[in-house]
Amino acid sequence: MKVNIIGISAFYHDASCCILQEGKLIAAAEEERFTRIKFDPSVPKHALNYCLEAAGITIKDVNCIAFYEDPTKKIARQIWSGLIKNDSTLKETNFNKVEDEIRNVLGFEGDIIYVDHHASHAASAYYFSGFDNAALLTVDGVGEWATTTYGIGKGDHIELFEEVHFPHSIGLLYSTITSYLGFLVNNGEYKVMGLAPYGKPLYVDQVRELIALQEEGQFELNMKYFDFVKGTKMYTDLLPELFGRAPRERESEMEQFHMDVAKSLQVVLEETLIAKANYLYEKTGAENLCMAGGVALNCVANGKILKNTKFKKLFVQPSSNDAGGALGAAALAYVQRTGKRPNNERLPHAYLGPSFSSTEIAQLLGATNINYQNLIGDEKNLMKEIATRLSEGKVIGWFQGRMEFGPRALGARSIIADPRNPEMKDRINAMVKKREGFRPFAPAALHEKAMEHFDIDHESPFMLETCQVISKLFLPAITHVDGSARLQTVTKEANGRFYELLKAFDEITECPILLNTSFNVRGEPIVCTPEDAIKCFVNTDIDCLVLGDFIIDRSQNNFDLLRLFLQNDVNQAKSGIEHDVYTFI
Amino acid sequence: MKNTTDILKEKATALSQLLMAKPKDMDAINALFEEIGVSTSLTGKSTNKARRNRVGKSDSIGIWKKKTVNGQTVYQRDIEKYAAWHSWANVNQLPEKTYKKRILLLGESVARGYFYAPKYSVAKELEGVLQASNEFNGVEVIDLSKNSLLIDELQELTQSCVQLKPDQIVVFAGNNWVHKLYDEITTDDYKQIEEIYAKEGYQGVKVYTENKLEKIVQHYLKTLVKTSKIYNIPLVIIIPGFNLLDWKSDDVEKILTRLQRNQIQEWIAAKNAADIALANQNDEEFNASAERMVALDPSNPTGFEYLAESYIKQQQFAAARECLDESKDTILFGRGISPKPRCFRIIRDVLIQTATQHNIAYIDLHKLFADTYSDEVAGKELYLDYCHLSEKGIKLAMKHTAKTVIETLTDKEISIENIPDSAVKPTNATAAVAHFCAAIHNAHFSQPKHILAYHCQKAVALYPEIKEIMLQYIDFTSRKASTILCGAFEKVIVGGHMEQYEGGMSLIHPTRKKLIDIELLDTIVDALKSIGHNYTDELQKIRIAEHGITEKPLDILQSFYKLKGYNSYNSTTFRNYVQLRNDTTEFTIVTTGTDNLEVNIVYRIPAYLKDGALKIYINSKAQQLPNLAFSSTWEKAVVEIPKEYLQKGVNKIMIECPVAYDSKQFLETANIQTAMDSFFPVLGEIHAFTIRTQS
Repeated sequence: MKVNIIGISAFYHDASCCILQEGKLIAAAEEERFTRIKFDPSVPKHALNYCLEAAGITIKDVNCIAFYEDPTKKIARQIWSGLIKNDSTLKETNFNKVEDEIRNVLGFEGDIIYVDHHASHAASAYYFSGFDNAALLTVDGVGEWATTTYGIGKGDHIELFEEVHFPHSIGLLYSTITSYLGFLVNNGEYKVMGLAPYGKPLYVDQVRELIALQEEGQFELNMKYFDFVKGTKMYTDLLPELFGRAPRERESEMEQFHMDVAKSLQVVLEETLIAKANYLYEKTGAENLCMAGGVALNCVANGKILKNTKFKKLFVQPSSNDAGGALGAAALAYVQRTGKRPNNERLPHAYLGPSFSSTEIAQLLGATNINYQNLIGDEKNLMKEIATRLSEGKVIGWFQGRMEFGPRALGARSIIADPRNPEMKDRINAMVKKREGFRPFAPAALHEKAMEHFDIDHESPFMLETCQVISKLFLPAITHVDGSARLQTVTKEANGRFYELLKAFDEITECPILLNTSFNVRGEPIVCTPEDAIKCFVNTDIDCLVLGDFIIDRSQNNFDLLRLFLQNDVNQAKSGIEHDVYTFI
Repeated sequence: MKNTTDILKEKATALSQLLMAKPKDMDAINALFEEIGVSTSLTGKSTNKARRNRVGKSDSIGIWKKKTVNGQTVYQRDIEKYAAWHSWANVNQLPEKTYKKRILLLGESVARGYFYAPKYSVAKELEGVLQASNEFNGVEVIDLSKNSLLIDELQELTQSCVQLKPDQIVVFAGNNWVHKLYDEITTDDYKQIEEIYAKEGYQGVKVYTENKLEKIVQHYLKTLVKTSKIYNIPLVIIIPGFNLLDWKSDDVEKILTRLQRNQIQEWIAAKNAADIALANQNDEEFNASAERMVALDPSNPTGFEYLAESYIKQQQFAAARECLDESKDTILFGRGISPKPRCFRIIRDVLIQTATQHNIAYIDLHKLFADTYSDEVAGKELYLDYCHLSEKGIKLAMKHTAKTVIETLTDKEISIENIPDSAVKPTNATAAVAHFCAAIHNAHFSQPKHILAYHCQKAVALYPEIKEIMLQYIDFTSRKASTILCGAFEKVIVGGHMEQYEGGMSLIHPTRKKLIDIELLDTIVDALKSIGHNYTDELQKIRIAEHGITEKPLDILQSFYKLKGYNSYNSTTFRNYVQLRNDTTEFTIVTTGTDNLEVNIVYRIPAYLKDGALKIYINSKAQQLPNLAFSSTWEKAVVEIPKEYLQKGVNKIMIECPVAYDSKQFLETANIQTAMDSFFPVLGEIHAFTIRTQS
């Protein structure tokens, strides 16, 4: 009988589920992809069903469910914060929601193991890093009490030896400034990261006023500027005073001031993380560093840490946000049950979600009025057709194989385009992403040719590092204002189809690079199913959709009516969490 | 030494453990809260934004917004409310008041003429009758009805509509008012209901819920009467009726109830006896068994429906109506997840009482139809579904409404015989589409096949060209693809044929709830045969292509195979496994009939049913598979279905649950969180259910 362990993250944001079978990661997916509710925090029943199906088992075969937080500790912190009050609602509130929903909604009868939030993060990085010895640094908004932890992973076990406690939090500092700059909390953080290169660090003194580094791993926020403890807004009136400007209204004009604040925040974030990583290095002596937590998605800072500390190798798990906590919880539960680490290999890829056969796609297309080209069994021609379209400046919706786990599209549910086209960034922003013009798009490159074009000496399969563009090619669509890019390197082993497409594009253009952005529109989760892909395609102006072996050209179809239907569909995507303030409950 | 923060954190941890304990020790919790001294001032109070426009302050009436055009104050459709346009009358502008008598019609979908609107409507019919009467020097009826209008929206509309300076307001509503009751029920109510049930049984529970509903209705009526008095606008109230004869309770509404003293087994015995008596045409036994069912479980509509049938056999129509009226009201016990609209007896009573008290004219459709059809129980002739009226129903109701309007506005009495017919009438095509929409709507809410057949036959008889729409419907319904993406659906919408079904958008199924409408499609094919077209083979072919069982395991818990209608407690909205609460639950599969099938099922049976097993039948009780033995934890079973049990095309898998449980033991062991859990015990659960052809 195989050991089957389910990991779950839920009830906060980014609910997800994964399954480890005999310690091997078989499947993982975010609940939002199935429900089409962005950041869906609800118990991941659809994701669980998918994981069971992918593993070929049923609920009866699951040995335990590992939950990525300790509800008791979390409730304690909420009491401490004053978020749980002794009022009339208290008696009615179900404080056992986690267990109740695992039992009653998921129907699970076996053991439930609760793993501390930051231990889940740390384990999610270490056990999938392939390292046998690594320092562990987790940084996010808040888990139970901890907001930052320091630890060491050796062999089968991890140990977290120091924590920084709420409300002192680098993640919440970042989210607070995100809110001040007029972006949505829990959503706009990495827009702030993208905005930073446009600015000058003119406000570092003010940002430093917000956070004070202390002994060892500790730091403190200057709480007179922060209001998030009350759970209604992020900052006090003193913060705008500190910066000398009123907060930016959402969707209002972006000014140089805002860019300068973003840059200043990024500088202070980097110096803080470098200082604490140095401390961690001194404390552990490990040459490898594993990072996780929402802040580890700051790929600019990650690159700086590697460059400015004595760590030689860095591993960031592709879903290092809360969704990835499910992986760590499952991994630690596996260690607890078997005494062995779940995995000795570095996570080879993030394609852990559902896939759809050509038969299923053909059946779907057959039901529609859509004109399409069927290239089943003719992959070479399929690649040639798409590479040609890309070289002609077409924007492609690319839907292939298993969906990615984590917030980055890595060539399974991607929108791709020619990175050499100077107008491409604006074009994609206008036709599909409808997002802020300052945000950069990322490149995906053939692994073996990546070093010719980017200043990088190692694989970057998860698009979690930035590096400088050194290409002789002019790559305006993927080069950020500071000459950097957030690179994904693609190998044949990890994603054969995407690799072949890059190769075919290289053969036509001598450019082994494609612009790669997530296949979704603003405010919606990345597409999961062929139906989601068609809906997204119809609702945007993407030129061509590739669904497995099938090509759908916009020029061969008229989608006016279908678009009208979709706009009037009551079953439309929505957001599952609050964005005015960090979701503490 | 610990600092204050550490001490506080320790206490918070202790408190969190107390909060998570079951049951909660409130004294200890209060004491710790006191010690911690968490100030509520720490937490900013959220301010409740005013959700509704205040009386007289609004410059909108429904979807129409105030504008000045050529010096005149008019109300034009607000583009910002475009998504809601199809729920209201298809009128771009409400003009300024002229010399014409202005009647406003406020109400729900029943007042719109659902299934006919916008091509024919209740407002048009009323206006037609009033114009034909020649009692006024010009009269207009402004249609302010809206599909799915809730009581709070009606209240707002009542207040804002006076800006149109009406001479009279006609309110035709009451079907959707129960939603507010559902919204307002709290866990405290559930506890009280449980206590009442223990002392007074279901009659006590009914009184409790009716009292709550009464308060909701009275609150609205206060506004209505006040508005009428302030602006001196006479009112007419139309009290909706219900399709007593031909709207049947579905499987969800008929789920088995928890009865005291193990009476559920007696109830089932009575039902079985009634079924046998009915089959044997033993009317006396049938009546006695039906009476026994009602006596044992007045919360279950089945008994009332049986008893009504018995009364109809005896031509006791008034008694039958009484029974069916009671049956209709049983959803007040929390039956059904999305039960269809209806006007409860308590709402009717309060409306009549208020109207009488304030001298407001009213038309009670329940009584009007009973009086008009005293020698039968009115059904599908007057209603297209539960409450929406047929053309005949609309004409009858509006004739009486016109009489009341004329009497109110002219202060003279007029005989109904002197009220002329209107010149307004739906075309055959409109009427046919209305019947086809009705067939679809009835099917989506699990109505019996003979009702579907009635509407389909009517549709093809009125307008044989409807065949093309029906064929498209068969195509997109049989597909696995979401309806919204189907080419056949697109063709229906492009043709504008289904505009009467909320612009065609009602054909789009909710997420993960697509139905394959087995009975409806079969009925459509039968109806088409009557006009000389046979599509039996085509339907079979598409069903097998889309849903046929192959060597790849097919998940039978998908909506296509498990849901017969949208009213289901087994939607994935709630949980990722299926709960069985009826004694028998049906699943649908499609096969070629040429292979043995392998069923893989993961199931469990609640501990309070420890002597039971799940029985599985294929297509009939004569074809039984091995039982699934009792297991209160998830158990896997693999069962073979011999091909001899199967037929080409649609097959039924019936799972029969055990029902012999002890109520006391149920209450002790069941996980009760809602009324559904408390009053309607789970009899079996299925976590995985796949079928494939046997290799």
